[in-house]
Amino acid sequence: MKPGAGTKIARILIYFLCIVLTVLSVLPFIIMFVNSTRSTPQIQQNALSFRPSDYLMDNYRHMMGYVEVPVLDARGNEIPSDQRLYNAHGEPVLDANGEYVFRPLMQYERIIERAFNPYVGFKNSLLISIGVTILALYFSSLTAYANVAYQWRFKNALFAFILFVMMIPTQVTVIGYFQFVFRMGGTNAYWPLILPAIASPTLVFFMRQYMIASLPLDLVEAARIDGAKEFSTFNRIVLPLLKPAVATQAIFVFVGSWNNLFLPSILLTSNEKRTMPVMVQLLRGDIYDTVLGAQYLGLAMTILPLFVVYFIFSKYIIAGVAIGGVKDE
Amino acid sequence: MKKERKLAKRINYAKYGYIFSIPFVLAFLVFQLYPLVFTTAIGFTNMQGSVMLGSGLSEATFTWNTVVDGGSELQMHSDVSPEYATNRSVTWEVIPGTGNAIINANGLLTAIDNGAVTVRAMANDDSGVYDEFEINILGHIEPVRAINLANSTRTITSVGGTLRINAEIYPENATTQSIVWEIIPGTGNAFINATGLVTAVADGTVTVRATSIDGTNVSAELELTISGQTTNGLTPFVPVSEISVVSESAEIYTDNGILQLSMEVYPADAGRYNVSGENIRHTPPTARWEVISKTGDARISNQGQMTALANGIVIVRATATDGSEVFGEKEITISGQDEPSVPIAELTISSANDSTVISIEGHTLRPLHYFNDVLNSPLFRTALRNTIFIWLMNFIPQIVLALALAAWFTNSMMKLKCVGFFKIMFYMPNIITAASIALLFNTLFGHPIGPVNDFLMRVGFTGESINIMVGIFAEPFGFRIFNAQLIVAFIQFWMWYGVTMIILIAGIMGISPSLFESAAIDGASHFKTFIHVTLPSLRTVVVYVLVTSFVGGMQMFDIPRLFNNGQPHNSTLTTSLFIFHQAFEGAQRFNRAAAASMIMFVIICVVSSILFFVTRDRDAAQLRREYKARERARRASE
Repeated sequence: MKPGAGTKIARILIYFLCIVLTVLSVLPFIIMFVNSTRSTPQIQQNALSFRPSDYLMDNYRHMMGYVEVPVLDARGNEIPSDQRLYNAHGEPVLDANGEYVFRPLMQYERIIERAFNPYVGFKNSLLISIGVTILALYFSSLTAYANVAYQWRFKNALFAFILFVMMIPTQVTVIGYFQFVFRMGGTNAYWPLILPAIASPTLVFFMRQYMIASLPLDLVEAARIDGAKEFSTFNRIVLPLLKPAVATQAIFVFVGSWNNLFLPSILLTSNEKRTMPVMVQLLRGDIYDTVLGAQYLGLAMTILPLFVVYFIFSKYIIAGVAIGGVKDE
Repeated sequence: MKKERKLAKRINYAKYGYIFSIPFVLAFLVFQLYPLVFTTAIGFTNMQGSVMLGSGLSEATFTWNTVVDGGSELQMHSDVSPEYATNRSVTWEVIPGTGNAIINANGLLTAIDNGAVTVRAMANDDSGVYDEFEINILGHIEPVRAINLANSTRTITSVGGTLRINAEIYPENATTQSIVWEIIPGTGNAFINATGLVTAVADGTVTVRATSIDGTNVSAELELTISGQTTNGLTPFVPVSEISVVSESAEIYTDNGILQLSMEVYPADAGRYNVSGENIRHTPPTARWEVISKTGDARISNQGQMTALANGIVIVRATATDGSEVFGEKEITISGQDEPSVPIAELTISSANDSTVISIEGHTLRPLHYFNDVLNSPLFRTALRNTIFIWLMNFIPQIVLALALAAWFTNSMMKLKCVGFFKIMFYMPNIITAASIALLFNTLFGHPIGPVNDFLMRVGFTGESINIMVGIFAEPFGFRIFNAQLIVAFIQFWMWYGVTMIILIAGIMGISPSLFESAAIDGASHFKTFIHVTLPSLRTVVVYVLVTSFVGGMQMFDIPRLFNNGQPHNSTLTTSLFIFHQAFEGAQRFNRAAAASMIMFVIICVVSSILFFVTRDRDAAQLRREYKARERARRASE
């Protein structure tokens, strides 16, 4: 296997393919970001463009429901600004006395309550995802620790059981889970989306592998000799040792929870509780068909946090995938 | 002694194993096991009531194996393709077979006689497209034998006064209880609505007639006397008896051209009169305008000004708003429009819950009822076909590309640079919310304005913008492949090939280098090494990727839902989307949704097990078996 001309051509072709794939990975997002800054006529003329325009604020206002209204003084009258009013021919408008007429002072007010609100979606997604991440990581570590550090009768049975549970596709339980939550009166609340994270079999599996490989049980023995209680041993000694694993998995759990669409669609019913993916569904029809830039901008705002997270943590994420912490499709 | 102490300590601490596992076990029981059992149970039973999402919650009761409610009605649905056809309306009719039924304009089928009937829906736009569906009517139909209009009050004396007529139907258990009302004017006149409420119009006598719609044509009549409608010899309300629609021309031939229409009313003195003292004020009757698209399309304002939209024929209708529901129509021909009229290409009719049976008495629910129901449902079968097809179109290119990339990226001879950068870029689509991506792609493929269409037009592939999302890609052997299916498959591929590649790279890195060295010593080429050394060693990893991709693919929801909600023509309807629609939209049939969930569970389990079994490491299993046998023999001889 000597590097020769054949290999050189192969290398060029492979680089070319990789560049094409890179462009493919990025292109839709570039179009999205660029179109967020363009006006509707611009997009209608030429939807595929790489030159950003300056309609970002206009699109933002349309998206959030801001309307230009006149500023009113204490008595409710309009206040004139110092801009003259011109008619369609470009001539200044004169009033009855032949004086210039001035435009009223305008400001933007959020008059229209649009159902789509990326800030609300962000807040809800953040709350739920943080809750899920903390619960999932803590209790998975605890369960894995129970499996590794102690000898007890059902230890192996439970682990085999956890492996089996990993295989259950999530959507099979959804109908029953919805009925269960409905009867408990938990629809439109956060807890049905956060509490189930306590039982995360894939995470238990991963933490157990990590602990078997990297957790020195002598430390636990030492702590016992020193008189520490088991629970505080776990919290004070074991958990800090798990930091690397926890850190990588935390990102996956967080992003997985953030991107979850099915369960929040069913369980969260009011506008104020909607998570980001559920919010995205509202970006259709209505003004988003007439002000296309607003639709692109709405999508961009839902995607932007993930971009930021990704490009900060990309190395850890890729390392984590390699070790094997991936959610299924 | 130390060992004893350690042993003693071990036994003591075992309880913490249990204690620390409790939260997990509890959470699993409550949040996964109970719902799973519940789902199975719902699939086996007849859950009554409905649960409204997004509004006040209503009740849901829960009963085992009861009789499914029968009835004499079945709602039919029509699905029209393409989505942007100018006139999407259809006309329903029933062709009697051994049985008979009637159908109303909204597609509600009412059984009249046992046997088979054919329901036909015909497109209204002269395209000639139609579809048929056969329904079987089972059970005993009790015909209406008599109707009794028993009103003690038979007069109306106030101006515009109303009177409700009560109809009693004999026998009480007649299968179809619906009746049609009409007024036969005598010396007087009145209106009657669908619920039997009479509104007085003119003094005199009128006859109210009620007729049963179940085909027996049983009817009853009642005479009413109306008085007090005139003041000073003047009738305050003269209803319209005829309307004709008039206009200068019967054509529009300019693009977005306008035609003003008006109405002529008969009798000339129709309208309302208000008498106040000396003055009599006459309010002429008004009409509401509407356009009925046939092959063309137009819109009309409240004042009768019509603007053309698409070439073809439209009918302008003016309906009097005075309660008489009298209308007049005129046919207008439109030409010269820029916007073409689009005929219906295809029409599919189905029934509520895909039922092919109207069962009058209902039937006893057998335990596997809903499973059979779902398995036989054409919609579920379509969803299953789509899910498998889209997954295959996603996975096969994905695994091939990922294997190739993984091989190249780990090839020490190639020494490719920037591998880290490429990894970051290829993985990126996976982390973005699928919902946002789906909607983004929907917008990208927009019609008539969209980046993809723009690109295609600029490149010269097409002259005008195509509605890519509703198009059909190919039709090999009658199996239709929709563009939308390929796009959804592509989105999945695009989101997951990076992940697969990274996992495969990790797998390759884990292969012992000595294997590669010995292959090199034996003089194997890159390709041969890959096939005979790398791939076999990657077996477990590939199986892992295959199984997780399959499990995920069978549950594909986000992309089909946000891309076009399963449309066009249910081409991207996946089983998850089917379950979601059944449970949380429309009639909220949780039983069917639960049954479908269980069916998917079984499919996933069976296929996963088969995949694991077929790709198991036979050598290792054989070795393990031999080892176990040896151990047993050894222990037996000890």
